[in-house]
Amino acid sequence: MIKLVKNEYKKNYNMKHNILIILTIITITLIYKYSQNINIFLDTLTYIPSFIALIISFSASSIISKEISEETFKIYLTKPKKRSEILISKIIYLLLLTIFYQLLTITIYLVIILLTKQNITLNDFIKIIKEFISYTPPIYFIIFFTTFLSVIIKNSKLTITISTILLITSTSLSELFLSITWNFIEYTFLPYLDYTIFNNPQNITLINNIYNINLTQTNGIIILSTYSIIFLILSIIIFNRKDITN
Amino acid sequence: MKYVVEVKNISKIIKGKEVLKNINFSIEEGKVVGLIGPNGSGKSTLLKIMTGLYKPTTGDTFYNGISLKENYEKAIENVGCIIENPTFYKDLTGKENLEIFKSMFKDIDENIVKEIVKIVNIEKSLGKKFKTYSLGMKERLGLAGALLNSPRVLILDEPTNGLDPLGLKELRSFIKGLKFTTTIISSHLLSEIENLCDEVIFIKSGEIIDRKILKNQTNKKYVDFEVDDYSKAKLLLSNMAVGENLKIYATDEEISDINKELVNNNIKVYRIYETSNNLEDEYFNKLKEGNND
Repeated sequence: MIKLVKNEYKKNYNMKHNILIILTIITITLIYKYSQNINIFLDTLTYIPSFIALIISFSASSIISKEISEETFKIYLTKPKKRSEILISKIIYLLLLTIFYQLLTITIYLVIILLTKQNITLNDFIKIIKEFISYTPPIYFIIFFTTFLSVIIKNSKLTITISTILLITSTSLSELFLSITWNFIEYTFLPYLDYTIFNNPQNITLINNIYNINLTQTNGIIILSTYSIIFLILSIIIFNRKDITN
Repeated sequence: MKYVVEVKNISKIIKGKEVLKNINFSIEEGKVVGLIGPNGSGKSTLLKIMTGLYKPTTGDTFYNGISLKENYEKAIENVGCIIENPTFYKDLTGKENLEIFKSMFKDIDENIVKEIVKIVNIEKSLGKKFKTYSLGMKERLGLAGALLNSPRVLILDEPTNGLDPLGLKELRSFIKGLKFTTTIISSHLLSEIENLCDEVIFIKSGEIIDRKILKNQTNKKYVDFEVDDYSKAKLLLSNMAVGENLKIYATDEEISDINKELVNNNIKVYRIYETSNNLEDEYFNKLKEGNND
């Protein structure tokens, strides 16, 4: 399995995505520098996980369909490895990539704080990091969801479009469904795709009260984990039976 | 008799259409078998099923008696293949590509890889990215990738596609040099199949319509008889005649007997001449026979 994960790294490592993440964080730093407001700086940090989710969804959306459309699976899948092993190695690679992006973000923030000699204590920094990590469950979910889309949809561009639209519009769609009293939406992954909604506790309490639902970060983790497992199982079943045709 | 490849009752239905109908055949160790048929006959589908890319609707493939369906990893361990165009990871070099595929097998000796790279003559291009490779280089790298595990069975789907005459010559001599490997080749180039293969399987509309030995060990040969009354001669030799003209597949002794029989029946024999065992003629005859059914 380790060898297969290494293969995924060799095949998919994309320097452009890393540069994009670094440039985004530098841009955020510049915003702070001109605004001279530490709160703005910290607020922007909460949006980084959504950005990472978008980058990860780009990688995940092509992880199966690209190999089919570019016909590389014609060689890769004729080797003595189970298809389920190959699929899981791809998902592990994406999980590791997500962790790498998070560590990269935290490191850059730490360097910026140290270089600009901010008046931030270690406790403040730990608090920031905890908050940052608390916003990341949707990224892990998006890996399983987009990989599933990549298994069932041949066209990687269509997969990217679906996952991007879902990521961007999840909050608005959730509000729309709630407004027409489709309260069952709280049991789907849709309201939890953007964890920045939990930035404002008063707002989320208001939504919960109005629609008589219970959107919480903990419930979000449970629901996203459940759907991740469902999508993983479905992906394995479908991928095992799939005819590899371009 | 030891069969290295056994295809049993393979059928495949795609979008409601039966593209393969109960395919059965076995291949002995070391044989080179050609798979020929028109476009859409099911050749590639069959080879994709035999390499695990497609799942059969019914049936199974066995390599050295191991079921591909039941024990995929073990069965495919001794199989090397190129299905359609050899497509590798375009942003990686030839060497990096080979390393990826090497890592998917247990214990492949680095020296074997070096040897294979030398045999397929791709040493100088290994450092270049795959996207810069010419068609011939891609084919060579494909062969190297297929041979990494020193396979006992080699499956090549249209390996001659896009190769120039030099590439064709190299591929031909390479396949001929594989003494203990059972090889299955699908190609549109009938002359290449005739040149390379010991046997040929005709496939049409998803069915095997014939199987023919090209290089047999008997003394039989094809000869054409030029006579004055073909209808009478064919009636007389109905169990021996092949095709529309009076073509006979027989030993020297039998040819002499046939000649005597024709003359004894007042049929004038003008000429007897040996004809090549022309696969192309046979191929078109098979297609015609199929269409007349």
